[in-house]
Amino acid sequence: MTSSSPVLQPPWKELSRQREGATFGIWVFLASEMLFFGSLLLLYTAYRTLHSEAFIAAGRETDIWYGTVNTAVLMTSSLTMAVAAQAAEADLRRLTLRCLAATVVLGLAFLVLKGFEYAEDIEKNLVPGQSFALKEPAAQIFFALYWIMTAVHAIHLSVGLGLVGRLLIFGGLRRVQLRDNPQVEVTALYWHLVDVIWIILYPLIYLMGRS
Amino acid sequence: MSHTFVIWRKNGLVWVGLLALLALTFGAAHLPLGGLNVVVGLAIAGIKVALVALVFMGLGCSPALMRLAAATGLFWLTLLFLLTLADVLAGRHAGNENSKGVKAEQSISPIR
Repeated sequence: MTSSSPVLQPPWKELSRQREGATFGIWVFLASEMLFFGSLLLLYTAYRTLHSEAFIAAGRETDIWYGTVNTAVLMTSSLTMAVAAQAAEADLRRLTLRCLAATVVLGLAFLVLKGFEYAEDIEKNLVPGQSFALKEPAAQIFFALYWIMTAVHAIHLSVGLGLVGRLLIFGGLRRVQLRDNPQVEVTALYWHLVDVIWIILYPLIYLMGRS
Repeated sequence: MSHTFVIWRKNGLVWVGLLALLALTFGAAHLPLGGLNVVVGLAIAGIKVALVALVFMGLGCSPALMRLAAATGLFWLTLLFLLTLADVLAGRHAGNENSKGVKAEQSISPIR
């Protein structure tokens, strides 16, 4: 790490310190994101303790296949993102770019599948309101939380797509140096958090009342 | 052994583990375990999160400062859950004993 690296930004004098600062900064941000999604999960937990039967009945209405395939898609995107970040460290430029591209494709695939799932949910009248399909009133709370949590997650994923796509385009054009760049690690950590949130949502939304 | 192979092998093994756990949680959800179904689902999700955090996010070999930042998030989350759920569960018990009087004071009032 020399101070002449093109990715070195003021006020840092050494790249290693800059990278440490960036990684620490994103971890503090991720901790605040944990609390943000945590508050939604807490709401879910509190309502579930009060209306467990209605929540199980409502959970049975979600499409387990969309949920499971999307979980596999997102975990695979985490694999390609992790490989991209480590390949950037090892100065394997072509592998980094290929894995960044695969991450974008898998992220887009997730959103497309989620879109089909939302269309199916709307068709089955699973949007809380006058024409809601289930008779238990608390089932509407489950689906209100389903829509909020999955939509907020999809927004986070879209932001991640923008960040990964940016690295892919500017990295490919050589306008951003991928090796030793803290932006690669920061983007990767953010992407993995989006995956972690989905891993926790999966059993709470899709695996309810299946036995 | 090329560097590319080493990177794929390390992360690929974690990915295979994640997919195996996904298959396991999918299968376990279909077993009649009653209240344990959600416990098993969350436990497997916890293992998957640990794999992603330790290997993909590199927390396993990160400096103490990064681990501390992640642990701080977890600490505040635990506090948030403990204190709120203590209130919700206490409110539910109080509500059962004296259903009309306490309801207005509950943070989350039952709909049914």
